[in-house]
Amino acid sequence: VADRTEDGGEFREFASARAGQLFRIAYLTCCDWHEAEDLVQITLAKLYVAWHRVSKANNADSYARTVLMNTYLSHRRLRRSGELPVAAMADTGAPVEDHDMRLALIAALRQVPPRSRAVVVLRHLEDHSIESVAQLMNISPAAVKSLNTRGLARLREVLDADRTLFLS
Amino acid sequence: MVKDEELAELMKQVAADVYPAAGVLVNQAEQQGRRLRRRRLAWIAGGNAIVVLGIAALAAALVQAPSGAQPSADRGLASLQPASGSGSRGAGSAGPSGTSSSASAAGPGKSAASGQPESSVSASLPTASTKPMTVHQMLAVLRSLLPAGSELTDARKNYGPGTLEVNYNDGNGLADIMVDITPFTQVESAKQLLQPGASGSDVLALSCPHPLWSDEGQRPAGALPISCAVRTPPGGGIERDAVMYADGYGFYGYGIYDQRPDHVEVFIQVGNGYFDPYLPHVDRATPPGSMKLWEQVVESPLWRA
Repeated sequence: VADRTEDGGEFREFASARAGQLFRIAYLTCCDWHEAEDLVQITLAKLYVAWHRVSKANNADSYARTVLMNTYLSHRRLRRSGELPVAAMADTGAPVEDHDMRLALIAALRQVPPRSRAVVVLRHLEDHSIESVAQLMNISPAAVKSLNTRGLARLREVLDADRTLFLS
Repeated sequence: MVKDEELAELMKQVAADVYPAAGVLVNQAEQQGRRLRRRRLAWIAGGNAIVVLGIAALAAALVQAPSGAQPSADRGLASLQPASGSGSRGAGSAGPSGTSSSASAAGPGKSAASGQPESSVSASLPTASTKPMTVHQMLAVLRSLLPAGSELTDARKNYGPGTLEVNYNDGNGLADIMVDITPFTQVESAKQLLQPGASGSDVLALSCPHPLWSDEGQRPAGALPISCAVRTPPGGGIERDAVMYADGYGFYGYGIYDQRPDHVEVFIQVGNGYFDPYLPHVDRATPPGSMKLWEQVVESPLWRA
């Protein structure tokens, strides 16, 4: 019982410290506030189940990101049935200083294929190396390069039209 | 053109202003984690029962086996075919947990609820799967399911087991095909899992959006119209057959999801073009084949996760 209580405390401490950043990754990856909440919750729940093993291996951060991405990529396939056109989606995010800028980025990210989007977010939001992203997503470095290039090309194309919104 | 550094800076700037309700998320995750842990323990217990029964069935089969047993390679191939013997049917219904979760995972209006007998496919498939198909195996299965003379090239090997992406040439231009096989347990809904008594129903039923999708880009002239239908295939489970919206490049195609009674989801996407090398290259108005063909491909019992 003592061990479990200690595990729970450690887990809670870790989860509280990391939930914000995991949410930011999730939000930019799935581009939906509610789905991002679901993804982070599922990720942390899975982390809770595996906490004893994961914390001993000292790789909770990597494990959390891997679970997050795996969950996103499998989760979204069923979510497609409920996908709405970008224009019809309500923006339920927290208020930010430059609302237009966030909307432009989210709208652009939505037009990047899911796997590419996941790679782009890990690479450019979190500054992971090609090898690190490959490890986190359990794909080859060549696949990461390919998905990153494909994703960036699409993102650039969409954002170039809105360039004045955020790069003035 | 927007530079890489500018994109990175933009993402960081937007992310820095995002503040979720972290405390609530952690509390709910902890509750859900406890439930998952309980479910996992129950699953392990059920799995052990199935293993014990499986060993007993194997022992019985060995005792009764004729002297001219199949070579191992043939046995491996045979395991990909629909089984009809009482052994596999018995194994499928042996575990109480497997039977109940199968019925609930099958979605609304399934055979378990209506009292219809299970089909040969659903009866022959195991209730759990542990080993994903390799790209090589998936390629062989896809090839066997396509019309004679079909050409499959440039199979990408970088997605790992369970996912195949390949170029298909039916004589009218290249088309990108992606097949994905996922055990149901990878698809979970936090909200459903948190509902009291929701155990065993953690699979979202497939549905079509209302209104249907709209194109993001220009749909090629002569393209198939967007469509979506959900039905129960002959083997049970639930299937969604769709012709998807066109993306910004005019790339679209058939998109079929089949959530099978063996707790495996098979997904196929057949496009109206290929990737060259990273961006879609639309070279035909319609994707190859017909909805009927791709439905048959998806429903094949040869796909085994």
